Amino acid sequence: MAKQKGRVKVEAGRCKACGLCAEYCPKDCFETGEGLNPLGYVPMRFKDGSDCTACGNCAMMCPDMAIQIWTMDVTAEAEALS
Amino acid sequence: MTRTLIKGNEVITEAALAAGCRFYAGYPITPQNEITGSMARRMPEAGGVFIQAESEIAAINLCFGASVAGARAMTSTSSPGFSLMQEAVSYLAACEISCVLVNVMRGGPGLGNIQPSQSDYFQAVKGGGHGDYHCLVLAPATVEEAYAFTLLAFDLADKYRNPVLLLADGLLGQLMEPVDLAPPKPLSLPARDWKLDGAKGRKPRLIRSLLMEEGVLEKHNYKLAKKYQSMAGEARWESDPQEGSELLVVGYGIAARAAKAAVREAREKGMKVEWFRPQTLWPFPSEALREAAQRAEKVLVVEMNLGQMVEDVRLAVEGSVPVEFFGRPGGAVLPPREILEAMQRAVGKRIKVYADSHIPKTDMEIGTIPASFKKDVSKGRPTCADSHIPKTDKEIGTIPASFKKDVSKGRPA
Amino acid sequence: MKLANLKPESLTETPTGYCSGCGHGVAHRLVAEVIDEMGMRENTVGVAPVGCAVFAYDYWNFDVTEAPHGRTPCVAAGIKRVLPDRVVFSYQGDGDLASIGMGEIIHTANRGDNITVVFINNANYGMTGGQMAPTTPLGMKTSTTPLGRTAEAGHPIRVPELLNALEAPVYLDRQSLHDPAHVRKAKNALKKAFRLQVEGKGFSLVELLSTCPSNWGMTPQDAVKWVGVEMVKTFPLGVIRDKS
Repeated sequence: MAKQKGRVKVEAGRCKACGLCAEYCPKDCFETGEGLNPLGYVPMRFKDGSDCTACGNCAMMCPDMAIQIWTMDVTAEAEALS
Repeated sequence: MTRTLIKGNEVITEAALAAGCRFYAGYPITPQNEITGSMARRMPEAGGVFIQAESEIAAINLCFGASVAGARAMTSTSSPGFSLMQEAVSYLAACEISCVLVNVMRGGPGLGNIQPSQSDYFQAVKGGGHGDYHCLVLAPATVEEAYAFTLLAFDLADKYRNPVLLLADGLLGQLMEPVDLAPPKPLSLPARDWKLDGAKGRKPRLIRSLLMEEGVLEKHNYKLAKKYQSMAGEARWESDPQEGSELLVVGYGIAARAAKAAVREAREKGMKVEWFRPQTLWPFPSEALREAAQRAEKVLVVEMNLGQMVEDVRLAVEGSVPVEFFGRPGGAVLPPREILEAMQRAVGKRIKVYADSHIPKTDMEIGTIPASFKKDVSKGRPTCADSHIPKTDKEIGTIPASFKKDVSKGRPA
Repeated sequence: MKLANLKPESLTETPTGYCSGCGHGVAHRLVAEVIDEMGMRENTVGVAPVGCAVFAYDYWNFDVTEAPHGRTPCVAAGIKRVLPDRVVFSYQGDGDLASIGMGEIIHTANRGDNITVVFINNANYGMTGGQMAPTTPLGMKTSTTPLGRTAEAGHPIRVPELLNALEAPVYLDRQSLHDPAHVRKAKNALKKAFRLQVEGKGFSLVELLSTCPSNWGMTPQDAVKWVGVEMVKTFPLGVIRDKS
């Protein structure tokens, strides 16, 4: 099982689906979600279980403050997950 | 002749080209960008010069140069940009240079908004720039008139060696209406015996407005004044005379169109009301307006601003008739319903219009004829017997029996 | 788990009205982060341009003023002269700074007014519908260069290089926002420029290559690629002057 160092929450109401998070994620952690948000976009979605290393590229590129990167202590919390 | 559905901004480009304009310089500003954009495409096609200037100041000064060299030149902008151009307008007038300027007015003051307004009347007509000068000011109300007045502007500019301002607004700029476009034909343009194209075989000419010697500037100003007096015959207006009217409604441009809808409604309700629409704001059709005003008991001026042309209306009627004002500033368009209410306030009467009003209550109704309208047409216009307009002063304040009947029936669904 | 990236204090909660993939969102955030990291939020006054970023004051959580189109550096300089201990910056686009404001930026830089100028270059006039800007590369189609820009409309202007001919400016840099590595470099450039102001060193300008997917007719992904591959050919990245 892949050890996650990070998990991203995409704030669907702020996302404008520019896709730059997906473009620059080295671990292919993003996909297009479903349904229209109030801004009229189909927001991006973090793929649960993906190998996020909390590199921060997505948050660096996001123009809309729609990315929250949650990090966890690799040893303790990852053990708890697996 | 091709009948084309075309936007106000774009028709100005077509008219300029048809008038032989072969030089355009402009700077992007909403809501006139379609003029600059269409000129970028059409002017090179016509073999003319298009320059997107670095600012409005540069744009009008580029036109100054082009005009001095003998070309028919035009620039276009919107309110904040026209503020920047004022210095050059003063120079164009002082040096007596033909040039066409277009201001597609937006909400102000300051950066304002991009909605239509008429709040640049003072700037257009009372100066804006420094010194004793005037621009001829044309105020179209339809896309067709925008076409015709642009053609006229170039001719007037050359006839009088003067800058001419086409004063439109953001709504007219965006509006699309059918217009018969004549293809541009080769014109014999009036010879400019003042242009600077090199003193070959003639004495050198001079373009200047700096006149420092004793008395010379005064003399030049009198010369300009005489020219401005000779422009009085260029005053144009549209009106609908009616004897014994209770109210004369005065408006220009888009405001006049909204006012006409209200006037039509009021007439159907039995109000005797006349309208008057100046088509030139300078020279102002003062005499014709005074004549019309004297047929009425009161004048109501309707504008999309806090009250600018109303001052010239008051000057024109010279106290012979009371003048009232209704307007909305800041880029708000005038709904005919509100004008109608203002008209009622002006004459001190209530007209119950909602029951069978032709003025749409919601946007969705625009374009569809309300069922009640059809009913009215078949019945014929309401006679005095069932009119809600009081027949005598004594009835003001009492609700006519017929009115009560309507209220109990409720508004038409 | 803990949140690794907090929203900067200097940014409001308000979602921006900018288009999907617009670089302004990133640039605003970088400015906000730098101001926060310097602890200067309550001592900062920003000057917003006329252009898409005219609404920047809705997104920054500190004092911001509007300025007439192009006169932005003058307004900033006026504020700084009266309040020298505040952090004062102007934030301008291609039209505001390099077209109508060309006179103002040259003379503000020439006087060496101790302000920071953030110059967002997206090669067109976004707000008014994608017209040519002084920074539009040759060959690029815009709504006023429908057949592509030719030299007749002028060559694109490189602003930091232009200002490099003046005596006074202290720091002139050009960075880009087209990928994470460059966004980090851009933030460092902004940080340096603001730090130099606080140290009283003089005028600095940081140009940031940004995207305008809407008017370029590209997806945001294609737009950032175009910046990284094509736009940098006209606007090479890197420090133009560092007299600090």
